[in-house]
Amino acid sequence: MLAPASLDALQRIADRANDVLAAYAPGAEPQFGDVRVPSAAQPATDPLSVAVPPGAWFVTLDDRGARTYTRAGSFHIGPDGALQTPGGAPVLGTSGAGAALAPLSLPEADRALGRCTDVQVEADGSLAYTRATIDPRTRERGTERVVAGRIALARFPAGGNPQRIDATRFAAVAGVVPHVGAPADGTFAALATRARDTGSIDIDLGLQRLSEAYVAFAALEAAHRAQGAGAKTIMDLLK
Amino acid sequence: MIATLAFGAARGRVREARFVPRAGVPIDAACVVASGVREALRALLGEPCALTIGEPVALDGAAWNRLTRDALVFAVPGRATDVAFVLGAGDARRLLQAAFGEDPGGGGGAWSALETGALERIVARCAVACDALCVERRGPPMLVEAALLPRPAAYFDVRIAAPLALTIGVGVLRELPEAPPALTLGPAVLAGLRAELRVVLGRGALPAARLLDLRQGSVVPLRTKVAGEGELNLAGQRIAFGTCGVRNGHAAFEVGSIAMRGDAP
Repeated sequence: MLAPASLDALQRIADRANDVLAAYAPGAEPQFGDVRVPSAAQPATDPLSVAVPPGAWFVTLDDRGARTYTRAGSFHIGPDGALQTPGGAPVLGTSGAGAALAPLSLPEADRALGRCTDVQVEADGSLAYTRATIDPRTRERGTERVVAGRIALARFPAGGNPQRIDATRFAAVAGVVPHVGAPADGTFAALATRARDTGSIDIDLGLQRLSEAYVAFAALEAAHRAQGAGAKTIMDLLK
Repeated sequence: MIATLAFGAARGRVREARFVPRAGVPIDAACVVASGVREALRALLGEPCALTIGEPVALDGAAWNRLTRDALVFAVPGRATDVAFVLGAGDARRLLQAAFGEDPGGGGGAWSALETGALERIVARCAVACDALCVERRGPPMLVEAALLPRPAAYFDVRIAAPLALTIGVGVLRELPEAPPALTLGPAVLAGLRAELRVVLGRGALPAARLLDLRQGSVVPLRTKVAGEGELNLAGQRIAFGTCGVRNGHAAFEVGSIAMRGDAP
């Protein structure tokens, strides 16, 4: 049976290690503020990868259908055609003006027919693709841009920051209702396209704090060992 | 199976090439069907209709199941092929609302007999141009279970952009027969034309050196008699065999048999 102090020290090591492990995850937020650095947008080649403006969050759903929030914008299209976060959570958005928030996905018919090409997320949050067309009057072939929907963004009021679930997923605090809009709608800045949010974890600081956690655990272990040795000596004297 | 070369999504600067089955639907026929849909919707909605179509594709069973899931499928029986019109539930609802002048939105749930009947009549109007595929329609469109239909041999979608956005899928349920030859001119059209005919009176053989020395006045020996068998040619094509001779004081050719069209002389 480990002593509570040892368990606490081991937990600190695990938490620090998790911060380090998430240092390269897009949009990751640290558990400890002492390793936080401002995030930045790095260029990426993936047309589905976008970086969210400062203070804004993408709106997603968890496994139970509850809303979660993330800054991880390295999206992909899932097997069901839905726009998903790196962790597989569906990304919410609107399919038209005034429409309710719903998971964004490519139209089933165009996916079944293999017509969705050049799928990308645009600066205004549009999930768009191009498809080939034929004008029946002229028989001319061309392409058209199709917008499947527009990604939603959320912003929390001051003091109402969301609670951390893990490095990239957050949940709203009970009673706090975020403002929901869309990129470049006048209330939110545009997304950085073909970009990747570097996250807010400084890898060097994280490793330093992890090392310190290990040192703290080693010191605790040495203290325990010394304490045990002292007790043994006393027992030997008493015998 | 006839395949065509297709390209997948771009990965960087490279697109993956692959062969896919080619749909056996002439693009002209698909355009005629789309034009029929345009005119039907223009008459129904009272506004010009803007639409395009997607390239006809050959479907596999999985794609057909995905396309018809939650969709209304109307089958149009025909002589050359049956045709299926596929309307997504949302599109069908919007089309009905527009046809009845209702505000878009709302609705849902099970379809009433009135609604399906109205949709069948709308599809019947759209199906007027199906003769381009069916050759001859053999009944009105009927709402059917997609599972009861065979997988289409070809499929294309008619995408209406205005006055309301919706997509109507068109499935060609049987392979179309080989396209007939291009339109030919009938005898009645050609009857007034004059054609220049030539008769080959005889045949012979010459050494190449003699052929090169041919001059005006040269004599060419023939292996056949001039008054014997001959050929009737039109535009370099042999059209008849017969006998050369004299009739009523005129040189003449008596047709013995008609040659097959296109025989080289």
